[in-house]
Amino acid sequence: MNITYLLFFLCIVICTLIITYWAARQSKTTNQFYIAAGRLTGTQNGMAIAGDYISAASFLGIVGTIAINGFDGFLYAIGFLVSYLIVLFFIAEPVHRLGKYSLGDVICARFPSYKMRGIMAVGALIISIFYMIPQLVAAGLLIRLLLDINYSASVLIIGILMTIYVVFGGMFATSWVQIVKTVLLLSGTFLLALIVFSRFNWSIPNLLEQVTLGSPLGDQFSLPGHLFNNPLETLSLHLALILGTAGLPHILIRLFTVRNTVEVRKSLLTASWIIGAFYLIALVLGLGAVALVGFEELVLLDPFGNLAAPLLAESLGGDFLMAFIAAIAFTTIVAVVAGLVISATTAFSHDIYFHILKRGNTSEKKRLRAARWTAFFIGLLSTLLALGLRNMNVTFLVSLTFIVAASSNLPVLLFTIYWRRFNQTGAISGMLSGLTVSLILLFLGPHVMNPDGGWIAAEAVVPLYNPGIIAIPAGFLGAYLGAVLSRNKENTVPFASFYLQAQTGIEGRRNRS
Amino acid sequence: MMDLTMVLFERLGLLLVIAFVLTRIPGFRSLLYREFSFKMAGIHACVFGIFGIAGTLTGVVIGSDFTVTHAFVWEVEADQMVVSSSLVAIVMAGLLGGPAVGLGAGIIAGTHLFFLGGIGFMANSLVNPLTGLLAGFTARFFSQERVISPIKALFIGIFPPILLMHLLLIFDSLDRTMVELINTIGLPVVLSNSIAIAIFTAMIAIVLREQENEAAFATRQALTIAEEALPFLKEESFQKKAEGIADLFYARLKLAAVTVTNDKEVMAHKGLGGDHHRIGNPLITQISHQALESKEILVAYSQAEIQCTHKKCPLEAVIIIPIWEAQQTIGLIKLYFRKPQHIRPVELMLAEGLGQLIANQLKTIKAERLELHTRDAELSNLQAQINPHFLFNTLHMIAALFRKEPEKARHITVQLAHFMRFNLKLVSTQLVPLEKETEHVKAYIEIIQTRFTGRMQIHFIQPEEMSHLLIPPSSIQPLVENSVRHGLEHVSEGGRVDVKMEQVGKWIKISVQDNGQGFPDSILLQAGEKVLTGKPHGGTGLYNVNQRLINLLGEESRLHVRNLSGGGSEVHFTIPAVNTRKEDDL
Repeated sequence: MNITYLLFFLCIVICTLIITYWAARQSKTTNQFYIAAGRLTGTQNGMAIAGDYISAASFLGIVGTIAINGFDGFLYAIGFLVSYLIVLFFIAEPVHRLGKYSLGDVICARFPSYKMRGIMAVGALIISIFYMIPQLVAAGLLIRLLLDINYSASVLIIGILMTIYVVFGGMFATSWVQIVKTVLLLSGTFLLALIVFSRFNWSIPNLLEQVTLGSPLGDQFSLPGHLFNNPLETLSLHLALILGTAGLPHILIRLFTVRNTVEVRKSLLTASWIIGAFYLIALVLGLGAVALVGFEELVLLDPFGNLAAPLLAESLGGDFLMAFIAAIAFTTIVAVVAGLVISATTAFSHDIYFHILKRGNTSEKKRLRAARWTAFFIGLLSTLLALGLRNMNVTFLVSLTFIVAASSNLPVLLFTIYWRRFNQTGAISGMLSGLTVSLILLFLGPHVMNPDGGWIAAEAVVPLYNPGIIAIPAGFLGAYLGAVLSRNKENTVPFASFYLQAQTGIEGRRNRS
Repeated sequence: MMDLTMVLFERLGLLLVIAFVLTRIPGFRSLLYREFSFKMAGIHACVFGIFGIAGTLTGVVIGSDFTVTHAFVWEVEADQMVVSSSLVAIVMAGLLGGPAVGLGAGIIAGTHLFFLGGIGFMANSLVNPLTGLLAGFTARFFSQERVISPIKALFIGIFPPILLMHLLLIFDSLDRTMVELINTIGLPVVLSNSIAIAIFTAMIAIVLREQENEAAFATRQALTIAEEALPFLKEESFQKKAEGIADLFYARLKLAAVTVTNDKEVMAHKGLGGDHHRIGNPLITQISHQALESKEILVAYSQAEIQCTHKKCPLEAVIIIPIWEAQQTIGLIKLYFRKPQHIRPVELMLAEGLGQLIANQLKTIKAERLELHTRDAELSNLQAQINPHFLFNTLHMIAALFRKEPEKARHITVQLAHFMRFNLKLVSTQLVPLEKETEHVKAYIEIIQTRFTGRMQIHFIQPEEMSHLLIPPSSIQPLVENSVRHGLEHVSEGGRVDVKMEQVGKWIKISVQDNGQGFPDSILLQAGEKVLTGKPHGGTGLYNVNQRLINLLGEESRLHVRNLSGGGSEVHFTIPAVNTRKEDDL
């Protein structure tokens, strides 16, 4: 591992630690720890959301997928982007107005009960931890590839860093690390894209011609069908992608970190622009990779082409550029996992510890301490899990996350905010049904049940890699039936005043804790 | 690569040394004070642009065969590339001066690089204005700090070289050697530039902090002096005030000499030139008179302006601070310096601050005194309210009148009630309409007249128009009381007291005359000025009225006491014919 790499990595590590130090001085209250005291501006928050969302899997994976599979890779990316429309129009503002720190707050604004809160918290915990594990595993592999450090050490380094960010710096540190990552990511990839264009003398036809030469797909490169050849699968995948973001806890808690709904809108618009711009640039990079590096080289080191971006950088600018891109990838990783840690921490420490265990009755200092200890243990737990699962194919966990989010959180959120007839039973049944159906379908699916190499060596019962198309309607159905078939008896807040608060922020006689 | 890194560090070290030396020069330092103007921005851009060019000149040249030339960069061959350190200066320009200065400096340095030529000249030149602009925007982002912290500057400084490498590749990407080149120079440039920027930033932060410390120190000094001056300002005698202040200022500030004057002559002097700047010297210089009139701080930078009559006077510069009280200049404090250069902006600010502080102190002291007088008057009138002799005698008189003249008895009782009630006004307000005070006096006169019927007569002359004017309560009645009790003390018949109010020009003259024995000469001068002890209930009346008149209506309304040529005395005062103050203004 040469000195350039080391220096860049050190630079990132030191920079983020300094950010954490500065943030630590401003994280003395729970308000600051969980939601940065609502002091992020819309633009900053938007950059942080984009930073939270674009994981290394996205960055490297999408570039690789485009390089290898052509058009379908780009289509994959679009799913990620479009999902923000759902958030913006249906979810964002009501969530901001109803909740304080966590998703549990939002649902319990209408159905205040410990059971409800517990289930929401468990859901958020599951999603966050399940999302974190593949990130950490991929991170370990990546750093081993780039820096020549062995897998365990890599996972350990990232695990320690992300824990430090959250334990000491809370949401402030997490947000600013993500903002820095966004700036780095966009500027680095943009410049790389410019170099790609310059290589082809700024002529896109030239680029495309070279692409067809470099890829075994030849002229078919720009046509769909190389990745998504099963219409049901494709529909299912995109359904999960488009609907999933609106249920991801770590994205939704970012709606609390700004002052008012104008800033919420600004955040989402900024994030959408950034993510959209990024995927356009990723397209250029993917094309450049297959044109300049060539298909064989790309799949040599990793069959999914995850190293397309660094290899492209190396071919364009040698070690220097590759080190820079690797550093960007590293920042991407730590930024995303830090966001997941704080989301899981909020779920446990605010919902379970504070509200359920302590009945909302404990001092600010204790709450803060609980939050910090929780962050520590969650970091520890995820790191250990990632270390243990190194040899397993954990990519299915990524699709699991989106499916669970889309089938459990989203139906409950939408019905809670918009449906008068909805009640607590419906909410609970919705969460449970979404969760269990997703898990069952995944266990019965080809990720796990695979004749060669799966955990269960048998033909998959449900032959969908992405069972979203079954799980999501199941979740909605579960919530609907639960509400309709139960009696409307619990202590729900009158819908009229709830709806008013959700849509306008005007509070009735309830107080928020 | 190590070789190149060391060379770049050395060259940058050279630049940093020059920069440090420049920051020790006061003229250069003033460039850092952030006053915004287009001219300053232009000058800043030029200075940093020149520094950027210096960065290029002290850079190195690398050939396409990767040999590094260590000479200074005056010209470049076509197959060589300039490795310039101009970005350091440009980033500083952006961080300190904002996008405009950064852009300006970048354009200057970039143009130089453009004309220098060589491999990658487009990228080399373009990166400078771009960096300046971006650094400027980044500074805006962190705008709550006056100067960014060195660590942040370090991280910000990492990006421009990376940008440069990318630009080199963008403009020359087909050339395989370019990739090799940037791999050779990439890391050295990043390291050297970012660390240099951090050190530069730290240097500038030190300079600015020095400036702030100076200002803080001067402020603290001014406040300490103002506090220490308070006991001297409370002194009654102007002489003592002057001496105290002169001593204090001379001891605390590093001055050649201090002179304190009143509006006519020198009252105190301390320090150099004591042989001819003496106490009692009249104020003759033009600059002194100017200061007295304009009430503004004046500075003289040469002996010609000071106009000291003594040729060998060692004092060549002076700051004159006028002291004012109640809209009038009562004196000057002159701070002398040996040389005009000794007067720096710090001294001027200090003088201004001190002038203001002293004026404020004087105002506060005056207000305190007024409060004391008012309280004294309250007290004495409280006494008068329950003045046992007056009440006792009056009640006896009423009792005596009951049988013979019941109507008169009733009348006097009512007048006594009026009188007592008007006494209360003294406690509650500082000024009352003339009308009320007239009623007060008339009530008193009625009672006295009845008591001393036959012994004296009291006449009251008052035109109708002036009732709305304001006057301190109980200002006429004590004068009448004074005349009755002292002036007509030994008169058994034919005594006469005249109370007159007449308009004289813009003033209303209120006078109380009596044909009694007049004031004894010894007391005449001091009446009203000092509290005359020795007489029971006596003495305080005139003094109290006088002080209140002066404090509330000004020096022009003071009491005037004289003995009449035909025997008797007159006490009068004037009040303005137009209301200059409102009743609740005080």
